[in-house]
Amino acid sequence: MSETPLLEVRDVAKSYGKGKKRKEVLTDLNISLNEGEVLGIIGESGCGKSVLLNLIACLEPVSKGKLFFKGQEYTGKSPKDICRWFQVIFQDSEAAFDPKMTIRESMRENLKLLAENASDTDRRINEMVSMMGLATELADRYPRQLSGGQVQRMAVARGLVTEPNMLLCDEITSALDVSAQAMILQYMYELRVKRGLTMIFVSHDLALCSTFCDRIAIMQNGKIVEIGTPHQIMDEPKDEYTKLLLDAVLYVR
Amino acid sequence: MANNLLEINNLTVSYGAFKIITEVTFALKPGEIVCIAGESGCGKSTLIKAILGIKQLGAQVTEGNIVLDGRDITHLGVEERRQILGTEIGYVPQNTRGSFNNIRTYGVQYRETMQCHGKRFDSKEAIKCFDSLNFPDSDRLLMYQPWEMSGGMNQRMAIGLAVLQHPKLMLCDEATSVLDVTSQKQVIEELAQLRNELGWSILFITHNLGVASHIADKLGVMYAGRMVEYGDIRKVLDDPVHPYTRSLLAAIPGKDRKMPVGLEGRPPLDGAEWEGCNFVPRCKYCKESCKTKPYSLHEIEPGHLVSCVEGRNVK
Repeated sequence: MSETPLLEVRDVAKSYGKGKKRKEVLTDLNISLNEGEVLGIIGESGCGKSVLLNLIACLEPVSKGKLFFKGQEYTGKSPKDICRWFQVIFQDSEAAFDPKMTIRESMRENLKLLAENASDTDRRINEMVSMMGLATELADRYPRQLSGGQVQRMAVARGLVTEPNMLLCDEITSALDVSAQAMILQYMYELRVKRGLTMIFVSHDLALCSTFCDRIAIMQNGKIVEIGTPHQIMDEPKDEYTKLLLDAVLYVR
Repeated sequence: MANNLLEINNLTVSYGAFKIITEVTFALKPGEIVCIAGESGCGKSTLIKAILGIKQLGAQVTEGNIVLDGRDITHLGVEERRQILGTEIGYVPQNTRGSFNNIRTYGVQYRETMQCHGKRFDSKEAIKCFDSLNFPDSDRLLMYQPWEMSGGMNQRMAIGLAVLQHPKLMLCDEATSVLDVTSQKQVIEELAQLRNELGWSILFITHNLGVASHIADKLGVMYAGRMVEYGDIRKVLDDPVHPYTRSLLAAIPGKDRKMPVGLEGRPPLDGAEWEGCNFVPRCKYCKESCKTKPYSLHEIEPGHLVSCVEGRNVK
């Protein structure tokens, strides 16, 4: 008997507009993700990767299909109900932090929202910040006083203070240069090892995902065309589109 | 040498007292593609702005000069500069969404740009140019408006506009870094094709050494305003010597699917004058003497210049 998957996306579709203007951006998607697994979702701009994340986090309602968390349906809940389960991290984290609040204040807001007991707030913030390899003093700075890579790591730390079951990462490294990107990946990898955190990692960089995802899903025009382990995707691609993407990856020669 | 198209000699650019580029020297021969790599804030874009003469936030060339085709263009006046921009130096910015007007057709914007440079705009010629670059749907492109296009296509339209003016030198400032991998590959291939067919010289700024390795003839690595390694692309990539170049290479996800290795910290951006090497705080290989030894580029073999050889001594 197989265990209940942590997250299950069943026949989910999303369309915008009505009547003639109706446009389907996601068609009949099925994903199931076990606890502790990291799934990479790859596709070109506009293929619906970010929409999928928004649907999973209930930031947008699904048009069709059902969402399950630990076997329990949660389709149509409000984001507030499920923010204990999922935390989303976006590409531009500097915009996601309030510029007039220090990082620590922003993080406290997160905990307040969940009505956590305030006594060990700071301890938890410090723990998460150092887990992302940053000095705890940095949490008392404003977002603009940190580099892009540091803000992004703070965003991951903020996502983690509420101890969610899952992190949804939407292109979190694509605005960063390679050194900062590698730093983030290292700490994310450590998180996986230490905490067994489940993640969905949306990116357009196949090479990047192949380094630390358990499975990679290739999306094209709102459909998943191929899903498999990095080995299956990179060495034995079956779909034409996967081959095209693989061909476009520019490795250092 | 007289046969260099572009020469940057000992260039220093400052924002007030803060030197953003320090003593950078290199040259570009006709038909050559030079890539400059480095992390955000290392002065790559400022270098391009200095060549174009865009004085943003009071950036000024305080030392050295820029020579284009034997002519010193460091301190040209507005009118003289206008005559060489576009026609002799083409420019493809990172964010072409911001440089085209989103709600006017490409045709109108192409025409205006050409007229500004005193040239006649011929839509047939433009279509021929799109065809030669393998743009899809080439005869209708000029009727579209930028918002109707993908980011990649918009970037290619910016290249198309630059091509129409037949510049001798092309400056690309992170021209592919906002694109996803498939469009990035197309743009890279088009640039390489232009070089082969029209003999363009391209100065290509990027933080992605993967991109650089596919088009460049020469590679320069900048760190905090200084050129730390410069040479033929194969020499630099096959035998990276400077610790920073090595860490850049280690940070790129490779074919072997090993975890990339990052670089902790950030470059010194407080504008302080550095004695010795400015990479010391982040360097794994640094020695006591590095903190005082003044910066200089040594030629370790013909066509390969490096400011520090410590990386080579450590495995």
